[in-house]
Amino acid sequence: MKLVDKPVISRQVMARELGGEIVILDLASGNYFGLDEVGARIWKLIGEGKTLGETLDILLAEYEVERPQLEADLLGLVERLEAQGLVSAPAKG
Amino acid sequence: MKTPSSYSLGGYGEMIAPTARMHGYLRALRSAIRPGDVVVDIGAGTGIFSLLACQFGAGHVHAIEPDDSILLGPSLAAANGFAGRITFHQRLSHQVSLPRGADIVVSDLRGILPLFQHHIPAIVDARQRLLAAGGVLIPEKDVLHAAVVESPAVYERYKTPWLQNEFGVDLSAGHSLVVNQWRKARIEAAQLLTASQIWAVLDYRTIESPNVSRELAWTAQRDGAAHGLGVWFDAELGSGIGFSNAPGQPELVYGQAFFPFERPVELKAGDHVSVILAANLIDAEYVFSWSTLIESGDSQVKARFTQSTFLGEVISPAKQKRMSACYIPSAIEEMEIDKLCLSLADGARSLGDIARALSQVFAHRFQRPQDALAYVAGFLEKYEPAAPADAVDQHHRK
Repeated sequence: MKLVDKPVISRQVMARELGGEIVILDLASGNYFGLDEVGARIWKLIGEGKTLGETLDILLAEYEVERPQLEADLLGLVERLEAQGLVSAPAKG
Repeated sequence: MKTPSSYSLGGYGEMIAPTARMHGYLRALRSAIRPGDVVVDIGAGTGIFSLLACQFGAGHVHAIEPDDSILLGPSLAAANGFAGRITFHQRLSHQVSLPRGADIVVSDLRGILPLFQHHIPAIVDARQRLLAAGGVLIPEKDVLHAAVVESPAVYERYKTPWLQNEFGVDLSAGHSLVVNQWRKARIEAAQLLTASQIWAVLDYRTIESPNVSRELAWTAQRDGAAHGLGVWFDAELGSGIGFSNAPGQPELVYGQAFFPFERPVELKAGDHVSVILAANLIDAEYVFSWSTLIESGDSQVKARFTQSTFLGEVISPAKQKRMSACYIPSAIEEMEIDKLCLSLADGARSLGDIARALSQVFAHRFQRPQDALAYVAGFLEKYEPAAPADAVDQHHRK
């Protein structure tokens, strides 16, 4: 996925937050996935319909981190989420 | 309707009440059984269907039930003159093998709904392994229905004490959890705000997946407060025989299921309600999810909810992490204790022998011998076969 993409969370996925972290249940596979605090923030922004570029800008404002590093981390996480079928990218931002 | 761990003998007794359920099963068995047939009774409880099958001419019955209630079966069989015609297997059905395929497999492994624990996988397994080609399944089919319900009394359990209580304390955080839990309810026909829609058809003769998902849509037939969904099933047992636990039908042991909305929504006749209702078997239990959109007749959104039993339990972040496939368990002493337990359970040592060894190696953990014995007995219980040997083999050697 690229920064212009707007990931969409699968309808087969349920997520719940506790203590700033998120656990995702993929109803189709029965597998659970955990996201740490930053991952949870990314998940919420995806859920709000943000593009990855918008998500990146928001995170840059919230965390002290260099843009290239954060971009790599963001795209890496979204790639893993996509590989598990938890998100997809049908619409362009 | 059997849960091996939760039914008392009294509970099994109540299920034998002369209701439409029992009469339906009785008629279906009588209709299906031919003289000499082999019948398998899965989730047999004390074996009532097995006894009836013998009454109707079955040549032999295999009664399968993991719960200790099955231990009453042999004396009941003897009292009815069927000793030797029923083999009792205190096991789960997937652990049982038979010398020949059965002509009939009868079961009631439902809970409040047929979507209950391993009901469907057990039936699929029995159909493939235990039932002869061309054999009969009882039931053949369950049809699940859903409708929008107005029931202040049922919804009261979601409001009190969470949103209102006489103690002046704020418990509202609990409300967001409990509204993700469904419950057994008695729903009256007059409480339905809409006609019913078919949610799922579970045809046990062909079913493969235990999961169900479908978008349902209703139009409110009258004004009223929508508190949630009522879900129930009609059973088709075969040859046109069946029973219904729909609202308005005589009360059965199952009751109906009530899935609450996050908050009651005032409906006007003509309003639209659509729900994606899904049930997914995760491990041994179903996760039910219901996503709701309520619109007025002119398509104004009145409410939108996303609810799931996954969201309905208090669970710690640490436990959440342990559920993830990415979680790496820490090596702790408890594992070493269990490893030693398993290594010593070699079929020769007694529990006392194992407990003594454990208390020597982990003296700081087990300060009294009985502590080690209680631990070992509890830990190894799940590995103990319920019956000392395969009862089928014993029977056929006679």
